[in-house]
Amino acid sequence: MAAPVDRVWTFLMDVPEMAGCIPGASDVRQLDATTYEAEVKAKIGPVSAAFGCTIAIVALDEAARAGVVEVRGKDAKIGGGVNARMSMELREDGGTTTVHVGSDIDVLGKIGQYGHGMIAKRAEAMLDDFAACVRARLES
Amino acid sequence: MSAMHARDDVFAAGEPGLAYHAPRDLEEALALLARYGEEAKVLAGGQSLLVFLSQGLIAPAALIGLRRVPGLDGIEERDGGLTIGAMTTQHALESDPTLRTRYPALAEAAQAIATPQVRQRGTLGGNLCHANPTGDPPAALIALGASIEIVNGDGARRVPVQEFFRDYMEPALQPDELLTAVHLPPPVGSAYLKHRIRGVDNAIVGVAAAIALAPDGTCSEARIGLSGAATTPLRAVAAEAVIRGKPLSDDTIQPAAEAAAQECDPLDDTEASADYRREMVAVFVRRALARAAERARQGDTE
Repeated sequence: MAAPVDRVWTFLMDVPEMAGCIPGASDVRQLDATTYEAEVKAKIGPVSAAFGCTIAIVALDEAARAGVVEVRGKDAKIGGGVNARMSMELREDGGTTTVHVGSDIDVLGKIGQYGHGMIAKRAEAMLDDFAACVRARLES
Repeated sequence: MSAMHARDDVFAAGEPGLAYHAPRDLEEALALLARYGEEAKVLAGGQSLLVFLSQGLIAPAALIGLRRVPGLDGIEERDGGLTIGAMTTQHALESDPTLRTRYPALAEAAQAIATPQVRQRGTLGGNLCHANPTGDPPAALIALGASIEIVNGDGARRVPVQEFFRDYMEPALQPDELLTAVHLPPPVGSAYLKHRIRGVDNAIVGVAAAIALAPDGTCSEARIGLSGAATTPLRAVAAEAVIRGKPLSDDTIQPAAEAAAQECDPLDDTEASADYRREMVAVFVRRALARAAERARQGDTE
């Protein structure tokens, strides 16, 4: 994105700010220095899920502009959840920043049975929406 | 009390917090829909809805059963085509002589659904509103050029069937609207072929083709409906364009099949990979076009 790396990093590290770009996320609360809670709602066809999520920053390299986040989400109503481990690394190139994101996502329980093909597709679309939102916020 | 009514009462008694309504006419059904909005689910044959309900994937406040609403059932010839009521069962479709001879794609699609037990209960309207991208009737209706009749308190409207499938399991229906009928234009040569592992499975890929021939034997109209080829049932417009106006032979059918494989965007899941589905789209488009063309030549449509 067309923004300097420091600006992108500051935004992504401000979890309540950053969560405003996650589709369906609300009620972000900080529990301690590296742990947060949030609710994430998602709807696929007739099925709506509301995940109570714990977000933990498990590794952070300020100098390398890299970090690893673990998300554990549970939907109590339907039964099931999502565990995700996401790594992120920022690289600067002449005033623009490339964000490299790696993710390993497990969908658990009944929600997983509903159709993992469609869930994977929706997860990709959510990541695209997130990226578009971050760009819109920072590229000004 | 008949067995049917006893069954109705099971829902009211068995699910705390779930109301069951059995309106006596369309007006009452629409009033209930308007009242509950998104909190209600419409119960037709229940073959998809009750599975979602019993698995706890959905939790509506009310079910509105259509069983007692008159005028939603049956197959009727109209304007050279057919009108099929939303509550017509899959079994009625697969065994209807008119459908089997003049609209074989729909009879074959109905016959390809799950089990005889499911087909006795499951309805055409229920299947369409479930909007499963691997369902069978949607592909057949796309190929046959069907339109969907939708009513609400203000009146009725018709939409081409492919516009009815908005997203994965998401029909283009507002909460206060009801699908009441499916209209089919005059018949052409048609066929539906389904690729699956076990007989009861959903389609890995399903392909319906409909072909009309000009007097000189060239293809004057072609429509292709695909199941299992995207997040919604899909009309293969690029493939249709390849054969429209051309003579039908391997030289035109093969490129059309390849075009269909190109334009589809299948899901990758535990049933089959996206790549495999794409390959099978090509294979089954080729076979379905050949069969539809053969039927068009035989005048199987009369």
